[in-house]
Amino acid sequence: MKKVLLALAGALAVASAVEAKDYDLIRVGVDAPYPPFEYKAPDGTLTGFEIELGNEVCKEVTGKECEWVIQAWDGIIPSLLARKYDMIFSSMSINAERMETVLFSDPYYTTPSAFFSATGFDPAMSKGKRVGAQRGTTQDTYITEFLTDAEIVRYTTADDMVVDLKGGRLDAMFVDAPVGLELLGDDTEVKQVGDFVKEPARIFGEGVGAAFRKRDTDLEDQVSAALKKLKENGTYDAIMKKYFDFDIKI
Amino acid sequence: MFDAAIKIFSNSYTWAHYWEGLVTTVQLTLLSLLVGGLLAVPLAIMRTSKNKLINWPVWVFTYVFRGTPLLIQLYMIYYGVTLIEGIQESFWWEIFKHALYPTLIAFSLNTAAYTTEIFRGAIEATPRGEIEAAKAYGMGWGLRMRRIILPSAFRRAIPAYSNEVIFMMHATSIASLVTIIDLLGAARDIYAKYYAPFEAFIFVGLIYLCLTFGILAIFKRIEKKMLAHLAPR
Repeated sequence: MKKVLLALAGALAVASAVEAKDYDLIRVGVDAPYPPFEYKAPDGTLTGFEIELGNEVCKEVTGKECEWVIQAWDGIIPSLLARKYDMIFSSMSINAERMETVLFSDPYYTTPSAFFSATGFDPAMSKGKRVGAQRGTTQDTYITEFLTDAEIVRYTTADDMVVDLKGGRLDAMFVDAPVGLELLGDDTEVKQVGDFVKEPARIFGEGVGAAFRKRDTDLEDQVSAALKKLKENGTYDAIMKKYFDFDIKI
Repeated sequence: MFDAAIKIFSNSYTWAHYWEGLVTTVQLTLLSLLVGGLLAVPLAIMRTSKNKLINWPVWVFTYVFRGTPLLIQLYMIYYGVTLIEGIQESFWWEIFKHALYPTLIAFSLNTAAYTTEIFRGAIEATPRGEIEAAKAYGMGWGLRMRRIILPSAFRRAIPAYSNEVIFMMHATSIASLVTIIDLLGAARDIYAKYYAPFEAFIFVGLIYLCLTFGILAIFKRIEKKMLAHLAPR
């Protein structure tokens, strides 16, 4: 039995290797504008973090830039299934519900969370500290699970939390990093403390991935491999630095 | 709908959290009524004074606290204290750092304002004959207050005051907006945890109903005892 299975698996591997096609152009669906990920530059050309990264991915696979197809978000999966394009590269979070209809590549970015504090809070020494989070967010789930000896204060809105942080009622707050940076603006007293927090995926989600039709496993393999290469050879970091002053790599 | 309810209420965390909320709500209600009631007695006496200098400041106090929403008062006190220069370094901060004391202050002052007006009405409704009789007995102002006016005024105030108690109990639910986990705060947490608004809020509504029935029952007994002389024969 075992031998038969092994033989079958081997045959399948050979079959898929044989079927591996060469793509000469990838049509990519994107919902624009969604700055800074995708938007139109003043001269009308499409640009942004995902556009630049996507073009690098397409170059790895086909040697050419992608052909971008602009598609509104609510029709983005149906149009993929209707073959209007072959890949979605449009900040689509990987989740179980979507996985039932589409195939995801490895994740290529995630929004990190971070602690912000005016007093130099250390997440590792949180005993008795008052730490704020917005009720029901992934950050709330995270500190509830990992900062068990801290006093967790839950807020309805993030701006109430910022007022309490600035007023000295909180030792730290834990929020989406871009949200925290945006809310604090040019406040000089409150600073980010510690590293960005992105894990575990069970709480923070698996990040954003490219999506494909389920049968296009071959294209998915090639795109995931291309993403891996771009993350390693520094191309990814160079594009990221153009658009973000913090790390969204996953 | 029932699946969600079973999932929520089969978790012991839910019950522990609601219990914590119930304790906080009862504490907040009782403490603010106690402090507010104690403040209201002298304020009501001052409010009935004929001397404008005594009467007027109390009128301003009750006018301001009855004339603005409790939520605004709570925000003013809760966020206002953080703006006092240097308070973060003083020992007061240990008290005001937490949400409980600013909330208690806001609630106490608010209920004090309403209770003052309830007591004032009751004091002013004292039959003239009772006061004149007391004067004829040679009682001074203090004795008259203590023995004649206040005891009968408090009795007359009971029905109106029972309303204030119920309103105050319901008003404590806004404490959840300044991070206190009272009954409503607990319901919000459960709602956010399970994304189940109906189950979380209906359950907490039922608890408030039970509390209200409890308060009504207590006041019914008190009225029966204290206002027996007014009952129809």
